[in-house]
Amino acid sequence: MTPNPTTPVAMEVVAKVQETADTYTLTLDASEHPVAFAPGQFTMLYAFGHGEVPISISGDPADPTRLVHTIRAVGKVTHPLCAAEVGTHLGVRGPYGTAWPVEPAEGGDVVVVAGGIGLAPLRPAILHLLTHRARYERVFVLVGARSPDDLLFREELQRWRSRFDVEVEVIVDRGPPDWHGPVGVVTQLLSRAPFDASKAVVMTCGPEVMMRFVVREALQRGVAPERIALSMERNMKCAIGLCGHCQWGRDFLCRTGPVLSWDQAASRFGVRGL
Amino acid sequence: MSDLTHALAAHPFCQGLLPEHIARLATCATEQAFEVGDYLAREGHDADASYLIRSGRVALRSGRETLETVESDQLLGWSWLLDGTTWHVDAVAVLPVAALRLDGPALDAQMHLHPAFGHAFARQILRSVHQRLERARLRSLDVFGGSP
Repeated sequence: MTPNPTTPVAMEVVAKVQETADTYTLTLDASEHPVAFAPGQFTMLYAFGHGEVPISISGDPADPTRLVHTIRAVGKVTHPLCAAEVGTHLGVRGPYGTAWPVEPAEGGDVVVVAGGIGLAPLRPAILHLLTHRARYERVFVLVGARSPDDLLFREELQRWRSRFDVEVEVIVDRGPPDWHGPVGVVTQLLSRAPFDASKAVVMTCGPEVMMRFVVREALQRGVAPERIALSMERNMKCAIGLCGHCQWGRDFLCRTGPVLSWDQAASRFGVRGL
Repeated sequence: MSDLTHALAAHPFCQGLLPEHIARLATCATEQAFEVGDYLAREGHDADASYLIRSGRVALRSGRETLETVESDQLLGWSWLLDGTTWHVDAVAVLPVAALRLDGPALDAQMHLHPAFGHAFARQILRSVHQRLERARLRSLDVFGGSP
């Protein structure tokens, strides 16, 4: 945790990778202020002169000295964040929020379902699962993207796929002529994945409408609501449960989220105005 | 139980069908295999069959663009239920495919002769159409185009 929850610490960008046309992965040097985090947590990233936004950590939780974020340039702050070059500094507060249920999942199958940029918040959970692979039964990583060009972490997906102890499936909305993989929606992958629903944990992150279909499929397969986890994104500002910008019903998601179980989220999910 | 009947009974499409319905379906079914690049259907040609995909992957293409893939355990094709229709897309194997071909005219005759079978089979078809429609709706939202 950075020293003061309301004061950003400046960290240097030490690596930058362009993942897609509008998405970049930045690695920050956190060696002076190691950021121990749990998979699923986020930090507040400050682009000096522009503002601060919540960004999920996409790095390896085993290495708190390298803080990794994968950012899509979609707004007034994320554009300058993505424009940050190696050697520049960004402000960091955190980490904040709840974690993916990687420990409760031990002893059973784990199904990770990611859509688009939603793979980034799930990457630390996947890295944790692979680091502690013996603690889990079958592991599935199911990824949906708009097109093959919009896939994040392509080389890493290939590496994971080449392992014999994790099943990686990718599906795209649009299949160009040179794509021979599945074309369709990510729920198709979920319906075919041969996991044991009675002891499986499903973790999903992506657009809310996608997660709604994922949850429905998981419930139909027999996964218990408390064993389905999803990441809810809202407008986090203070990130310490004071300002209320991220209020979702009774919760401030910066504190009781972003990761919630379906039994926590079901009554509010899809409710207009929330 | 014949191999064909056994294969039909094991296919998810047939879940919920009575044994006598599956036996009747078997009279219209043949096993087929397709290599990569083989066409199961061509756009504009008469639609005269359905395929229950047992393994492999079929790309539904319009021109060079893949609109969707049909995978193991799914149904491909129902246009023959509508008189005089043709395939609306090309269906080409992108992985080696093992399938059960259901002959459309033969099935149509069975459905007319045995309304209970026809009703049950039509419901199974409708379930597949419903699933395909839901997926099409979700994709039409282009959910990955905007912010998560």
